[in-house]
Amino acid sequence: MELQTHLAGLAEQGIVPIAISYDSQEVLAGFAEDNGIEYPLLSDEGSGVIRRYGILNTLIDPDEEHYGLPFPGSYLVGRDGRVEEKRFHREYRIREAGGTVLRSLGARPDVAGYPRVEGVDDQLSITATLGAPEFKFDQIIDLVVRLELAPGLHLYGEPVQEGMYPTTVRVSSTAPLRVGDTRYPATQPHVVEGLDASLPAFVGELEVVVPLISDSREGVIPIGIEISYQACSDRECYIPRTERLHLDVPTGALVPGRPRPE
Amino acid sequence: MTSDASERPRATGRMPATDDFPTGAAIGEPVPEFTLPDQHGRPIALSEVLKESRALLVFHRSARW
Repeated sequence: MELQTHLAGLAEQGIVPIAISYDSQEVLAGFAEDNGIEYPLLSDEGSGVIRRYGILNTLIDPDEEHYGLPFPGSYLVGRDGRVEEKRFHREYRIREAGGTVLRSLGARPDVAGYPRVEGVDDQLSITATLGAPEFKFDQIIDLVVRLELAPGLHLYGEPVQEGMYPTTVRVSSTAPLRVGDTRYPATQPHVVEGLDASLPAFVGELEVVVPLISDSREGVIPIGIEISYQACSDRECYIPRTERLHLDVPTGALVPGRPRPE
Repeated sequence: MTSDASERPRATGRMPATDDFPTGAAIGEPVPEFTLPDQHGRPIALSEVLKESRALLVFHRSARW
């Protein structure tokens, strides 16, 4: 992940990033110089620490070239030495964009200049922002879809009652793009007059997060974003609507200045 | 994980076939202390870093690829 570009955001959270791999110090020195990396890249030659952390990739036999690799992942360690957050992925190729990690830690990454599209109608103002300046092969990047409701309106979340429409965000692409599980914020109970129940609702503003992984090594990735919703006031519910937004996202080189692996 | 190679889930490449693979310390548990050299050859101790701030430990495959 491109932690280097997020050092300031991490520092604001009181977090120092530390990368650990089984590479020699010489390899890490070259990598740091080539890529302008200022944070610590630690050399765990022999994989002693990887082993003690219990994350040695045991699917690789000891006589194989890449024996000693970890199952890649990250831990956020608190001042008390205990794990606050952790993220591991089954597919070792997948790396997370720095912004994705920051967001998972509760920070707000600086997304100025990142691909973004907006849509506004009389009920809803929609802004979809990618969590990175570009796609990178096999990197998880969050698309954040922010919905701001006009005053006096609310939307419904799951589970809805029969005949009502939940708020949904769907992402699709004609390019090979994997779309992860969409994360909706928690709803608030909304008591409807005349109904003997409270319904799960969204009011004010909400952020829906869609994790995306591009399987393309190059080219522009078109993203279709479909937001379906039914706005209601305390007196009536309006006709359900679907807003469609489009975002074109470029694909970046895997590692700047380095040939792409085949 | 069994020691019999033929029984191990090898799926594609070097990925576990399921999400059931070791990921070390759980949330709330302590992580092992270590001291390792950084890219400049300076020894970095986790406990020293934690005196000043939290640490995001990122275990990578290899910087080579």
